[in-house]
Amino acid sequence: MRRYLVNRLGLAALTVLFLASVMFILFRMLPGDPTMTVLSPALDREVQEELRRKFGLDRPLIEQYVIYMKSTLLGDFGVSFQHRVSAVTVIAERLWNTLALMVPSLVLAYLIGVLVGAYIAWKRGTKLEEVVTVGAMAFRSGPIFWVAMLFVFAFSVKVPLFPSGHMRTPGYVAEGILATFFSLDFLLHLTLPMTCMAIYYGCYPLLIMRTSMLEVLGEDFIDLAKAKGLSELKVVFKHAMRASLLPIATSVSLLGAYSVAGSVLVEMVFSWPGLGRLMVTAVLDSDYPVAQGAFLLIGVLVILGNLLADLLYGALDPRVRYR
Amino acid sequence: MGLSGIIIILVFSVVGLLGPWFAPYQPMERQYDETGGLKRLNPPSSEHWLGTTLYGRDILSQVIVGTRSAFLVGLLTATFVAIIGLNVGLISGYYGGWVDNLLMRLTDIVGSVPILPFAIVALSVLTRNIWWIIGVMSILYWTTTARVIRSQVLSLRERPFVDAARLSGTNDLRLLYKHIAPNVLPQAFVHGAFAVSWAITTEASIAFLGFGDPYSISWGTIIYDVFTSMVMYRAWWWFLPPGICIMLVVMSFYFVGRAYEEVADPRLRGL
Amino acid sequence: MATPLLQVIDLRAGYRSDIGFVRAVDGVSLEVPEGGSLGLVGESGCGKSSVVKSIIKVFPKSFRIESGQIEFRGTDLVPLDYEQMRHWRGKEISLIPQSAMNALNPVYTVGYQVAEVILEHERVSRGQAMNRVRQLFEWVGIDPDRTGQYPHQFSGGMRQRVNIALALALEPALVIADEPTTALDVVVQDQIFGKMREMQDRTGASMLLVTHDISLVSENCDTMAVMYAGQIVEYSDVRGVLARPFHPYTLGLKNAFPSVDRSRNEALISIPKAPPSLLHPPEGCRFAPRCPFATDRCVQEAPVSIEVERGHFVSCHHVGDIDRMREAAEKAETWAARE
Repeated sequence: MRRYLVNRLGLAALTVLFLASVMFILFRMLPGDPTMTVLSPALDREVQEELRRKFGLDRPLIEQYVIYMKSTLLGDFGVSFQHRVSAVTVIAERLWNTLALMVPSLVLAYLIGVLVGAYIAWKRGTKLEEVVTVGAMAFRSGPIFWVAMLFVFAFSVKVPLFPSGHMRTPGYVAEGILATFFSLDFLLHLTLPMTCMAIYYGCYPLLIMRTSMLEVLGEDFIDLAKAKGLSELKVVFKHAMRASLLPIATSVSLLGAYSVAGSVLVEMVFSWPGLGRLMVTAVLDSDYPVAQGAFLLIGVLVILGNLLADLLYGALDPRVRYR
Repeated sequence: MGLSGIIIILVFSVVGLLGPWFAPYQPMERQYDETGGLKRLNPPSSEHWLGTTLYGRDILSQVIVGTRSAFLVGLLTATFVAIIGLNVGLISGYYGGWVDNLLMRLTDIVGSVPILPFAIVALSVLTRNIWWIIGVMSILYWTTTARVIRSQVLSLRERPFVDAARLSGTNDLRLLYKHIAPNVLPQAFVHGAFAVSWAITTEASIAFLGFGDPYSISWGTIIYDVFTSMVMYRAWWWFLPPGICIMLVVMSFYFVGRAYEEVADPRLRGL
Repeated sequence: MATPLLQVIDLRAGYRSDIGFVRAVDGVSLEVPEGGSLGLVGESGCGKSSVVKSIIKVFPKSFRIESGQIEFRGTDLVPLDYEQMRHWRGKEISLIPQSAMNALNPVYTVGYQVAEVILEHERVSRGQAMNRVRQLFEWVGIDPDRTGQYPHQFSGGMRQRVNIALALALEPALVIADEPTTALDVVVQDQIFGKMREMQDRTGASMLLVTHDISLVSENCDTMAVMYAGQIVEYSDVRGVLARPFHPYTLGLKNAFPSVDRSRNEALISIPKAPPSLLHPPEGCRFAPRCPFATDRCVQEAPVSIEVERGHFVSCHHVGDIDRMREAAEKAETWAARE
């Protein structure tokens, strides 16, 4: 188990390095002055000079690369053209907003997916199972940004239940963490995007769980569990479900990647001030330091997510734990 | 299920191929009414079955033309993904050793790149045209296919027919492509079908964020137009159709892929 | 005579398939007395596992009990639903399953799975249940410290011992053993049956042993029922069937198992061809196509069950000719003629 972990960590580190390098190369490919990616006329003269020195912009490419990699690993992406403060500050702020949306959404998505998937597998052959199955397939076929727009349309415009965007009502000033993330205003704004993401991404584990359960329900040990006199509920939810969870665990990493892309889109539709939206606007505004930093952070999130998924898999399958 | 998928795909293919000739109007042409006023945001009517956009353009024509783009992007990307994934999987699974190790590490790394964010950053550096979009998507999406093909090759490698072919003197490369490859093609096809779905969705997402090809119309660019015009919630006829089209086509390719998979694996039929 | 523990009366059951209804159990009647053992013998596909499934009532959706009764201590199990059956399962009627390899859930420890059946039916604490599990393990020959391990860490034979511990945990009145030792070697087989007899002696439990191995039945059971193509063709106490078999199929079976009553130099004789399809069973005797003694009457008319001796039942038209048949059955050529 330990070797497995170390292996995965090593790979994760390598990937981060790879991503950073690719970014470096990409940005050097921009037409025009390569220093454009670090400097901008929007910044003050002194700041520009300092950056020129720090990032070695008059030095050979190799040296620039080394400096770049070092500073990236330390979290220094330069100064944001738009905001005039260090890029990291801007990014860090938005990171929490994204996490506040993504984490509850994904947790909810898995809860819904696993439970509903197990339930409909149990009720195979009924109308309900057919409807839910086809429904889930159809629902997740629509692009998430469009589905999000539907949600806004249905629950915010036509039936004004929830605010149609942003993280809080304009003019509301939040003091500290508690007020920011636990206020009613925040929760109200969170509901729609979170529900949208949860149901949309819940379709994946739902369908996987259903398939997995159908297989497991045909296994011999399920018959024996019944022969022991256990109630149907126990057989389905304690035995069948638990044994079906493995494919779900492997799907977590896949879903992680999808949902990161999805969160970018959802943030745009809901004008949620998160990392994804920051990255998009930064790219559109040619604010390269922020764009770079945001992208790398997103990449790191995905990698961490994969790592977590691998750990989860190891924890769930006793055959991996005890060789 | 697969049948309905195929039917839907066929319908859309016909529309995609022949549609532009039958489209009632030029998709980018502004439509004016009798009094000379621009037909802005008209709800569906007999002249414009899906209504018009904020800029007075016929939506039905746009949707029809978008079909072509969707299929182009989808099928091309899927083909590239299948080719890359198939080859990586075959070579990696068959040769094993350091080749396998290297290719698998590469697969892991490429697979960890978040595709949509990367596409956005890349496209802002490169030009925003449909070919680059297809290229970026293809170069990143082949990893799952490669992994699946590789595991299939690993199990096929041990089969007697491989030994038989070796004994008769076939060289490795020939063996790989003439004997093993045909056996993994079904899986490649299944993944290809899923890749079409993914590609269409991802291209639409890219377009939605504003990075689509400004010279072509796709369902994604239509939704982008709606969204940026800020009147989306007043004009349901504008944003609903392209989304529904995406949903139907994505769903049908997914069904086809799954139906094919089910034929190959009877356990999923619930017997 | 005392009421038997289990009475199966004219049971008819089978599977719905793509091509029709396969009646795996076609009019089966048998009894398991209190404190006794019945061996249900037959080749693969004869329907004996379906009988087991019908008694426990754990079967896939495509399986259906059409008619008949299954009386357990006076209660008919056939009309009971899942919740009602739970009262008996594990506690009064338990099952030792056929496949040792897959009978245990891979994600839970073996100790937990055995404790589960105890905790389900009795009001004891977790700790008390686990103590009992350790005792059971020791009794069946597993190191009691292994209760925290997972099924994949055990060999096939050990897993089957876990299954047995599980089946006997609550000292049920009826233990149904469905091919319990097929995958195991003879030594382990002997040990396992030894333990079962021990338990039976101690608790007065009954056993229904389902197997294709006639020698197992001869060593461990009081009565024997021979099943062929969904029907019971011969039924009696074990001595009776083995010493004085009446049905040609039984005669054939005896030949196939060396340990029962044979001199060592003779070669094994097998019954040629295969059992009939249960989708469209033949009109007459189902064994006729393979029987060396079949006549036209056998092909056209299905035989009924006749009591040839006290408590010994056979379904054959030619019971009168039994001495000649017994003699002929010992010779390989008799059977070869039917190839």
